[in-house]
Amino acid sequence: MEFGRELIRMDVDGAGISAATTNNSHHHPAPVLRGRSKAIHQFTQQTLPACKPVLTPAWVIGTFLLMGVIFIPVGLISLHASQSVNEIVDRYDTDCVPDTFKSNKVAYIKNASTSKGCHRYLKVAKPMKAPIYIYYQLDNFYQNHRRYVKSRSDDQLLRGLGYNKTSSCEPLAFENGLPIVPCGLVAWSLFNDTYSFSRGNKKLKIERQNIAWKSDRDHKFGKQVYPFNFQNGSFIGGGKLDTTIPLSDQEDLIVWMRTAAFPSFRKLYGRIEEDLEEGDTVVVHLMNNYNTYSFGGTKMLVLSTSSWLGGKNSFLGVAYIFVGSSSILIALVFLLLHVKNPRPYGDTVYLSGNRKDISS
Amino acid sequence: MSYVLVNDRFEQKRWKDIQVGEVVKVLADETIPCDIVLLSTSDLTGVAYIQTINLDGESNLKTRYAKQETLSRVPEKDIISGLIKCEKPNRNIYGFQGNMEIDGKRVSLGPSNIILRGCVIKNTDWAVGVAVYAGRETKAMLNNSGAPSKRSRLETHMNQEIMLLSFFLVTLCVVVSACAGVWLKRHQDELDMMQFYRRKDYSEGEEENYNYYGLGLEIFFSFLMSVIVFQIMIPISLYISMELVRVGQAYFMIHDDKMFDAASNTRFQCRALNINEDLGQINKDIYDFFLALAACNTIVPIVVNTSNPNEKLIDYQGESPDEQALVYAAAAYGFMLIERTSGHIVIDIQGERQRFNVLGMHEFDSDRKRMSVILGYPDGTVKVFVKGADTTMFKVIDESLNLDVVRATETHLHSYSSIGLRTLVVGMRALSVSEFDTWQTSYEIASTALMGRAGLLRKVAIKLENNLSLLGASAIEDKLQQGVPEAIESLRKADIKLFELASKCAVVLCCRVAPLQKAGIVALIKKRTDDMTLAIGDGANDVSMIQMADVGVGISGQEGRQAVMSSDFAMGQFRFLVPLLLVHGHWNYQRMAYMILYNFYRNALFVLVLYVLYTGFTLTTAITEWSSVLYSIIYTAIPTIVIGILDKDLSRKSLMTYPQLYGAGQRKESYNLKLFWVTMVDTLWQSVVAFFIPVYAYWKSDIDSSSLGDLWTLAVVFMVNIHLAMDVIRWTWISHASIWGSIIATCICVIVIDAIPVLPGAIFNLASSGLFWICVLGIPIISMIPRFVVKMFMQHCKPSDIQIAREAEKFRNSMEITRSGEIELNR
Repeated sequence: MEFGRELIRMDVDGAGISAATTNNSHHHPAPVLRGRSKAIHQFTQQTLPACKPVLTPAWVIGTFLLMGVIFIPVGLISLHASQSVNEIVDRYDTDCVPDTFKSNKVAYIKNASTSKGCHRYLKVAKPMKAPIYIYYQLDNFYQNHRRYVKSRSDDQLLRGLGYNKTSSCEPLAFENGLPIVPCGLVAWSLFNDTYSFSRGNKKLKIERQNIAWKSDRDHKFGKQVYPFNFQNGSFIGGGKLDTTIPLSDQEDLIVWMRTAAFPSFRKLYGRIEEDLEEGDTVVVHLMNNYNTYSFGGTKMLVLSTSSWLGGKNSFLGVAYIFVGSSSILIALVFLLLHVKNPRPYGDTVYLSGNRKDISS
Repeated sequence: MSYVLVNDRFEQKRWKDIQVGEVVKVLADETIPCDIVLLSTSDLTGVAYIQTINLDGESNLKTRYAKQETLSRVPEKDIISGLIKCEKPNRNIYGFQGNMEIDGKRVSLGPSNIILRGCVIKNTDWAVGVAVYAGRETKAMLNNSGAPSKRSRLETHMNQEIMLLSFFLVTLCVVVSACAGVWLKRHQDELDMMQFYRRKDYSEGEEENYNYYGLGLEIFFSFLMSVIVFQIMIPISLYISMELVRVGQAYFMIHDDKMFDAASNTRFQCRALNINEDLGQINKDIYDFFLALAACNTIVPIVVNTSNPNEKLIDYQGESPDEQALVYAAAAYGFMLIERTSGHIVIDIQGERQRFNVLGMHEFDSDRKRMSVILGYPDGTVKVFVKGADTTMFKVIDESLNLDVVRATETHLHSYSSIGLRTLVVGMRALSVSEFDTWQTSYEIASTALMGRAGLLRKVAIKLENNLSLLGASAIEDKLQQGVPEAIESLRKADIKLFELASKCAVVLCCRVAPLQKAGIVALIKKRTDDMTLAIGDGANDVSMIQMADVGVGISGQEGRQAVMSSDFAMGQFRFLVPLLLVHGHWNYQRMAYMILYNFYRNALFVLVLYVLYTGFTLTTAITEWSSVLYSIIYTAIPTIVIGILDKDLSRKSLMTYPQLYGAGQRKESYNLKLFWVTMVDTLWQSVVAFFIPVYAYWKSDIDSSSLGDLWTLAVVFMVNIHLAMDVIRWTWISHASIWGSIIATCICVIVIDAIPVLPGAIFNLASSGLFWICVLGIPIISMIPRFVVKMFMQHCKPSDIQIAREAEKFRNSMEITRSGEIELNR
């Protein structure tokens, strides 16, 4: 009989076994790798060189102090910019309705025979430097209403009658069987109050050009697209358009068609290119055409100078100063915390298992 | 296909066609098709050797016997008719009771007469038997519990939170649509005239409502619309991200050199993708060693000693590592097993062949934890040899006989077991003629009893096994399990409770556990406690357990591949369990937990629900549809996946050095309901900041919707990326590239979208105003302040283990220098 088996000597009394006890380490000698293969090895073994920031108390306090140092000056500058803006706001929608129609304003505005002319006298309390921006402000007018914002065709605005997939414009896509350009509710509801200004006997010069964005004029409204069959229906929503002027030059329309984000909004009407002095009285000759009475909306006229930050709004300045001061306060609280109640960092005796060991 | 007796000839028949009562013939190395009672074998004495590895994982050969009454019959020639009565089909693979009426005689049948389906005939040319259980009624099939589908615990919890969010979403939509209804009701009379609503359509000549279907339907449409607009809140993309992250994590687990088994050239295997992060939450770990005790897997060991008490010889046919080791040891000392039949053995003792009669045997059972063999020497003397676990053996050893040897052996055993060796104690006693006769009589009575046979045999064995003289002890080092004691120590420190289903330190459970019982233990633990269970095993008998546990790990060892095939993860070495759990499990859990919370935040933030307050509850979105779609795909998708795959909260070294860090997963520190709510509150705050700062900054200005939309898009993308950046722990170039790259990609996308003429792009005019920049840079910083404050406060006052270990990693060098300095001073 054959015995080709492997024989292993095993020392039963243990002397030999202890020498052969388990060797757990089982190290592979790390091969020396270069370049690409080294990078791949580091990647697969998850040992890519890395920065491991640990936020120590100094870093935390420093971060909050830095935030304070940045936010407070920015807030102060913003606040100053806002303070430097002077504005005159005049609500005219009720006052411009004759007393006889006060009880039924809708009848007044819908009646084509009534005179819509109205005079407003604006007192200049603080000197205003040119350019003075003229805005009309509507309240309670949901230009962001879902039904409204959808009711337009940007393709038609750019390409005109050649584009006929204007179903989004319904019910203002066709009138009397002919397509409407520009179609849709947004264009149909174009704001059509007009303003002119005079100081003393002299008419103030108003710049009505370049009130819309250049990008809109150049790229979004067609240079060869002319209004067609517009406001020809039985129900007129707002302003009419000069059919001889291409849409790209209809700046009031372009401004209007940038639908506002909030139900209270301003839209640019023009610019006064003269300074207004303190104590001046500006007479506004306005045509009160636009119907906001049917849904309780309000109309205001706004004259405002401008700063690098835009109009008069102190919210951001105040918010930044508040955040900056809070940051410094937090920094102080943390400073106090670390001084009163310091914790040694990275001491492994505080690990939960080790803590038990210490207590036992 | 198997041979079945049909019309006095053995014909091939499919397994599934075999019926109970048919006579089956199995050839050497064939698998048994059904449970059969042996009738006869090629061996004249009626012995068949079988391997039960498919059944219980034990790889050694076992013997089965044909009954005297049938072993000489040749089925083709003799007409045998008989009746077998047996138990109903059951799962017990170690028990069988029945009787056979043949030729008017009643013969008892026991477990040693039956061969179960799945076993393999070895060293026997053929065996013939009667099918008693077939098909699904076989014990092997009854032990197959089927594979349950597994889902990670994190995902289960996440699904609950998603249900919560869905509930919140529905509530929100109901509230918004109700508000929309109230708004419409209040403006009921004005809708016809309103320039921005214009209910009436005059174009057809007659007045009719345009796109207005009455208040009720309008409310319903508002509800549907709000569901569409707000559904971003439910992070559906999270499921996709999770899958991608798991693939990435699996890649790193597979390619980890620390889990590469050089001996068998096998890499780690990820066989299930959906439970990676469960590895970080294991509380209980159930493992079945490679047949931990030699005694357990040796059905017929023959232990012989000569003058030297430290030497012994064991059955040569054992195929398990333990047996081999013992046999090699004996052979090395000059005791070679030469021949073995059912009735006798021949051993070459230092060149001289000796024949011993095997007079009887008491098999291992879990009460005694030992087994014994009665040998008749050539000179007529009879001796009983007993082998078993040290705890039970010392009870039956007569210590007075050789106290010094006993004490020395105990000391040795202690030192062996403390270094992880598996020990056995061997004892013997010479039997006088009267003792032998007494034993033989009771043995025969017990072994033919129909009722309570096992109990009777045990009593006989206990009576026999006493006053033994100690022969010696064996200790086996398990070469396959390199580093197991260290691995277990690490897992213990990590507060993982270990159940060893096959080792001496288990209290109730012993190695002879049927597959389904193992699964039952796992199921019990899962049912009674809220703990996560991991089952690890290598044998086919571990399959049910592996499938039942939350996480099943298979060891691609020597005992077949069944365990690997049914496992979720497979690896070459038991000790790889430590890096798998403590390192990869920890990372996977931390990453996945963070990713889930982050995705909840990321999606909920983008919704900006409050805008409905300013649109008459009509669900207009300021953010362009393009940006809404790209938000989850381009703007914020990559960083969360990259960080989910790559970020490491702690180095491998720290995790291995401090196993208690694993507790973070067990305590569900990184994902729990409280953290979910904290995250949601934080999200609400950030959402409020992101919403109201632009609202108040641009209130009553000429800002248009698309400008506001662009501002929000950019602000939110900055926020979510800075939020993520604040939580990244390891900044590799990949993390930098993904986070800052996302911000740059977003800016490019917004510019490109706004450059399309037919879309109301606004970014060019917007970017030229100072107000925009103050908003877009201020919002991310302001919104992060509460989060940062709370995080830093917790970090200082209640540092987590992970935090401390991170700091230790960072400042370790300086700490170690001061420590070593102190030690030197102490000297």
